[in-house]
Amino acid sequence: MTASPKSPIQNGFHHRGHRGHGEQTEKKLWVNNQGSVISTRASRSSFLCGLCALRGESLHRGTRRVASWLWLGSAVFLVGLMFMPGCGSSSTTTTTTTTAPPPVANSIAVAVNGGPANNAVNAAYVSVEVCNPGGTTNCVTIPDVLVDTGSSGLRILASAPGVSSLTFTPEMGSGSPVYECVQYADGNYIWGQVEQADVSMAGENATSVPIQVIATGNAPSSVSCASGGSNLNTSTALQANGILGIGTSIQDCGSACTGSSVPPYYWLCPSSGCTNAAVELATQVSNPVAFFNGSDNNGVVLTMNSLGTAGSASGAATASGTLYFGIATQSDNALSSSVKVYALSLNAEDSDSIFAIYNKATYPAYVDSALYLNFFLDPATVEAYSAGAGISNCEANNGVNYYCTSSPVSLPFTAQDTSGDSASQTLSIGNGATLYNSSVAEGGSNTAFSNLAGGVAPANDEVILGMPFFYGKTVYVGISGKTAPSGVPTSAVDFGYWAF
Amino acid sequence: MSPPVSPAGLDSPQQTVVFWKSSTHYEKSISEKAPWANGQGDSTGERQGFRSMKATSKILLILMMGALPAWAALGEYEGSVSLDQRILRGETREEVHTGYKLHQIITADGAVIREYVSPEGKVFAISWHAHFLPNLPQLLGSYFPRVQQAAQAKVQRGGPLVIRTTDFVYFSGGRMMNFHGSAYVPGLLPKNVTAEVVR
Repeated sequence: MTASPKSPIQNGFHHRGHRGHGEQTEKKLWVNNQGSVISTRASRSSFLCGLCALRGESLHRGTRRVASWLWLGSAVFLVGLMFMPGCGSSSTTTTTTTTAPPPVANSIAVAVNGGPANNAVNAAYVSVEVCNPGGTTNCVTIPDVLVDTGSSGLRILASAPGVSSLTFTPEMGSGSPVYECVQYADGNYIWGQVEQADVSMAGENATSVPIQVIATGNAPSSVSCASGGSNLNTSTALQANGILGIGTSIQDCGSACTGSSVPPYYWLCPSSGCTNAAVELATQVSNPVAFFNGSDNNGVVLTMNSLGTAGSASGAATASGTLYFGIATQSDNALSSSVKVYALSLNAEDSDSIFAIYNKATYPAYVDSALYLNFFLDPATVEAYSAGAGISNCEANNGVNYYCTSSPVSLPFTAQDTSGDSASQTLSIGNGATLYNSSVAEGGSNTAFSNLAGGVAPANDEVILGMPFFYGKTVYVGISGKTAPSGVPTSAVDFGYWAF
Repeated sequence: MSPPVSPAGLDSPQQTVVFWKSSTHYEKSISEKAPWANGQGDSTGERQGFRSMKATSKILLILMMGALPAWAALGEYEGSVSLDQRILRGETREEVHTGYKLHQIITADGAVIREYVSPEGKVFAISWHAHFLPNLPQLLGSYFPRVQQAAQAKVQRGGPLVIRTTDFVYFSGGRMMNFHGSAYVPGLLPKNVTAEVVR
């Protein structure tokens, strides 16, 4: 497969290429389709240096334009660029250029900024290009798509800017269009049709991957998963224009939705109404990273910058980071020797989990970049181990209880995987009520908090490492069943892995 | 300020603390008639017939299509539990504990739903571990609107839902394919039974 001829995303400008028969004959039309907001929020991976940015853009365009019969030639040029001074490659030894695949721009900027409705706390966003399926040029760049390491699959609002101009190919089951109802623990849900689309980020392209287009209306009353809450079908409710699920699974449901007794996720909706149904794996909404052409499809690396001393203590107006595609597939996404690889478990009650050992007790744990706080244990359990720290519950203006301390506290815990591999980690707790009350959701100006934490009921004790845990860290998310780099134990390949 | 902690609780995740005595509560008063006010008769007698029920694969369709009326369990008399089991078509188990009875249903898809029954025959708590949220309108009955209201009032998307009021305590957490939660009515807790038992 050659790189699909779609338009690149460049600093928020949407480059719509009108192509003739040959790829070199395209006319360029630059459209600022989202205003100046994008140019600041979605700046590409030019953080390394100007030369690197040049390299990235060049590689990016290169992979878009160059047909397979051209890539060898361009690779020489591109590899040359790789070794420009100051571009992260300290080695001066030559590498084999004849066997390596052409490098692909594999990173995009991540921004924490309150989101499209300026009401989100600790929500990390990227821009995602979505196109009509099949390598077409009808594309839209969607800003403010939430980075979610805890789910799989791209979901975009039908009401997001430009989406209505796209024509997707509906996924079908038994001759009927496939819909999905994704229910969240709080009872709110996402309802919408499953469609094939092309998905691009940086120089990476996934062709005809199933995504979910979140309907503007509510789910039919016959759809049981809709009974508990609201369809998150506006940018205010979703706090995003979409959700980019880049978790450890390829499909969002997997074999649980293919059998004879399936959960109420997938629905076939002929005109007579919707019924719960099994859908095959190829039809399920899927992690687009796993479908990237080329080799950067075995996972992602999410690096979030630290909030700094002041930002950590009292919150920051914004935060930034970089999302790299692929793990140990390029020079910029190597699996660091300083991180621990955690193989995930897959059992009935704690699927996709590791464990957190806190004060000699073991709890299920998982990392979830889409969760706006670290949510762990209960005040008494936390306090018992950190005697004297004065950790208690306190209520913010939104009526939610957070952990509160008079001064920030670091809590050590041990992260352990199913094979017993472990490493020590820390969680930070500040005054949650004060922090949250300074957020954009409460009329303040902050959107990023590394010390925001809460917990609730001992009977449901668990440790969820949300976005606050990501700041100042690099977290690797390895997709199950994909080729894993050396350093990842075989046991971690089957169900995926995290590393941090 | 902190709730009491049993020493054993420090070393075992199975041991829990009395958390509804927490100094802060999420107070959202919703006037509501006691859901058990209409309960008729004494249903504390054992109903064993459901024990022979075997799991079938039809449970989900039945639940979702609303082919059978939704019966509330929380706060109602025990009879509603057996109906749940009939509808759920799951493997059931009954345990007698000091001060309360525990009904457990394991459905065909692996969901574990527990219902806690007081000596007076009322369901004072429920809990679940499941691949998806259970039929909450059925399990929570007249308490369910509170959950709906709290869910819709949330600003920050995702994460657990917590309700702590003086007469209804609710927690729902987890993620796709892995949900867990519990709910109980403090006023219905049997004598000498604490919410620690709800898990």
